[in-house]
Amino acid sequence: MRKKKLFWQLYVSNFLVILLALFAFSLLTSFSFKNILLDQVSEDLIARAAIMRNDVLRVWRQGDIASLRRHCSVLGRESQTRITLIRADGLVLVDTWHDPGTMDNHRNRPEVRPALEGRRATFTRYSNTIEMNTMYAAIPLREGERVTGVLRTAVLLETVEDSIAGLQLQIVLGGFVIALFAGVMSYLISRRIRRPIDALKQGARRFADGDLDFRMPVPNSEELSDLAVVMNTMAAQLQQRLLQITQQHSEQDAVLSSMLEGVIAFDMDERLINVNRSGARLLRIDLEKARGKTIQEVVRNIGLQRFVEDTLASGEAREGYITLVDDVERFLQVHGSILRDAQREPIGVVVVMNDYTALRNLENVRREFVANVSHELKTPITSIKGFVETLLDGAINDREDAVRFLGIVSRQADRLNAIIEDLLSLSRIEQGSEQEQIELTTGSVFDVLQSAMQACQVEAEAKGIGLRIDCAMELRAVMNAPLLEQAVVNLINNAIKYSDTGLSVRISGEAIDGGQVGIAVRDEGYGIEPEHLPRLFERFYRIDKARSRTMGGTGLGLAIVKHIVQAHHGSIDVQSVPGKGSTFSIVLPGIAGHTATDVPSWDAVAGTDPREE
Amino acid sequence: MDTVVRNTEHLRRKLLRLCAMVEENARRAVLAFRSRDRYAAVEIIKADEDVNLMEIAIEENCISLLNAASRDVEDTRLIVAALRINSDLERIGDLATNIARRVLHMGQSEQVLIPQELSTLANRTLEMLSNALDAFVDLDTEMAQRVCERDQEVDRLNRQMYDLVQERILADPAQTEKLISYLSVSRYLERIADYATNIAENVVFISEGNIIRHRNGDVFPPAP
Repeated sequence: MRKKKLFWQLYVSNFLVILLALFAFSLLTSFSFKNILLDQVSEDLIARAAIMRNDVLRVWRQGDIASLRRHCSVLGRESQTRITLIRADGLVLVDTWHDPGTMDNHRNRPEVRPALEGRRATFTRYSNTIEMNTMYAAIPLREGERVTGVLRTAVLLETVEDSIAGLQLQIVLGGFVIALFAGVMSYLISRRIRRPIDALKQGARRFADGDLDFRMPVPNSEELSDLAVVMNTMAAQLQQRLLQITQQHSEQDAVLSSMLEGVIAFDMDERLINVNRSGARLLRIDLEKARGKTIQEVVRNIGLQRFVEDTLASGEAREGYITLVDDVERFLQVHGSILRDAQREPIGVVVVMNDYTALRNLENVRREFVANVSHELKTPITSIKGFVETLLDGAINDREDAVRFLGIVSRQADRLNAIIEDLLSLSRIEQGSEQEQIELTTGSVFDVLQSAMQACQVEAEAKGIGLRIDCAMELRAVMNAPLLEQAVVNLINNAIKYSDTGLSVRISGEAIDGGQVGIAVRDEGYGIEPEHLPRLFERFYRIDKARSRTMGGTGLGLAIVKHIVQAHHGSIDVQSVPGKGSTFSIVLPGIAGHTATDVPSWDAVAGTDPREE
Repeated sequence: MDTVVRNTEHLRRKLLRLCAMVEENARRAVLAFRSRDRYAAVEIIKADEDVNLMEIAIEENCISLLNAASRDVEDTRLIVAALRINSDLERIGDLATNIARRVLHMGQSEQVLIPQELSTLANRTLEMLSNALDAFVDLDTEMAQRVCERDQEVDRLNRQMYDLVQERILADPAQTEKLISYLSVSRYLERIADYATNIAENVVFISEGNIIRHRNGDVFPPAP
């Protein structure tokens, strides 16, 4: 049902009350006015009769009916009154408007009878004689104590009624005008009442629309002004509360989004409520697109789906581990808790995801390294142990075998030594470069290449491989000369190892763009399959284990090269075509980027490193 | 009517779960193949049992929904497409298992990286699968169309692998066994891409009611 407007309610009721009052008032007025008028008329009639009584009596006593009639008609004409003279027995003697001869006995007329008994009386009735509403007044005529007749005066009520009707018309007209006036007035009053209410309504609407800065004008009337003040206070409090909530919300938001852990929340229907930045990145979710969607749509990971489902089903906090499989695997530790509303009713689940992939990878690297080192160390030791036991078991007595076995033992011991040496230098370089303790000075590249070549000369000649340097004498670079030489030696040694007899190895140094210095070792050997290239510089990575060991490699040579280059803030790259040969290129940063520093020299560091002892 | 809506929603969620399971298995299989991770391979083979159980559950669900009284055309289409996608997903799961089995048969100690072509093929296939499933989640017909278009690239890469393996076997017959494994995995991946294409076609079917199968020639081109 449509609600009535307050304005119309006010206006209509106001107006109706006024109309009703007006109606009642005019009814009352015209009624009492009529009464007063009739009373007056009847008193007037009696008074006229009384005035005329003595006069009429005097003429009547003379006994001449004809002069009585004349006298009466004069009196009647002058006073505009019908005058009737009735004898005590009811016979009409005189009547000024009619012929008494035609009139019947009036003894029983209601106004006459009391008069015959000696009382004055008035009566209003319809006159049969003149066929009109007539008011009669009758008074007794006495001779001494005896009533001898009745003097009746009468007027037509027509004139009275006319004036009453005129009066009533005036009252109605006046009432109508007053009603019209009242209508306008009550309209104006209603509007006056309504206007501040409308203002309040509009203000409340602005509050509802969120415009809490708005303040309502305070109207004059006490009740409404109280209301306005209360509403203004309410708005101010709401604003305060809202501000607080917004602030809390943005604080929470800031906390959530700065968290490294992913946080994601779902409702009871497993639909996404929210996810923080880390979580979105981890699960590859676009929050704007995904909000309200089911977990099955948003997170295509069965582990998390099951975890959320289980947490919701169990209704209590849980912990678990899930794996995200993308291009790589990501390992997440997940904590699920039930979200509850103010009534402690569960409304969803929040999952905190901790990515421990990096930790796990590190752990894997460590484990792999330990396993590799153990394996690499165990091989020569097993061999040494085996031959020594054979010698102890009696082979020592066979001199030829003994010498051969001891030779093997010696070679294996050398190998063991080489591996340990390499490991030690690797760890030294690593530590030195981590602590920025490797001294870099400007030196001649040619000198380094030349001494590296000289160091490998013997092995090269043994295999009939020619070494050639291609480098400008004046080329200089920021370097640690002994380390750089070791790196180049390792590369040259590899090149010799993996080349057939009679081929050549070229060592080059040149200035390249941006002041950088490039050093390359190029062979024409077996080359490397492309799938090996990405892992080539890993510790103990071997393309062909058997072949590598027979050539006396430790599996650490290229790892050492990489670490030395990193200590120089340079980079290393390899290009290779199977069957055609490989090129290892080192790029050292330009001179401008570095200045000689006063940090302790590499040798000093190596000598004083406590970890080494 | 309301229960039918709820039931189709329920069906959709189940199917999406199967999507997650299958995609994960396919990704794990490729990773296991790359890293020669036998442990992971065993896990994948075990996980396929869940895939098979889920497939049966979804199929039963579809049949009971098809028996239900009131449905509109779109629901029927979804159910029919769900049946098809369901079996496609199950086959992808099987192919992932096949890859895992290959990993078990290949030597573990061998530290070998797979050829570039195979690596690219694997990436493309996984991308196609991922995109096809994304298209299903969002009922994104544009993305589904793009998936269909990319199938040819995977087919081409598969043929290249065939040539490459042939060449290398001739060059070094000692590596035959390993190379044959590569070829098998390449075949499996190529078929996963085919099923991903099927799924994408069904996404178009769900949202538009158009059957676009067999428009771009045979879905399964003859093996090279």
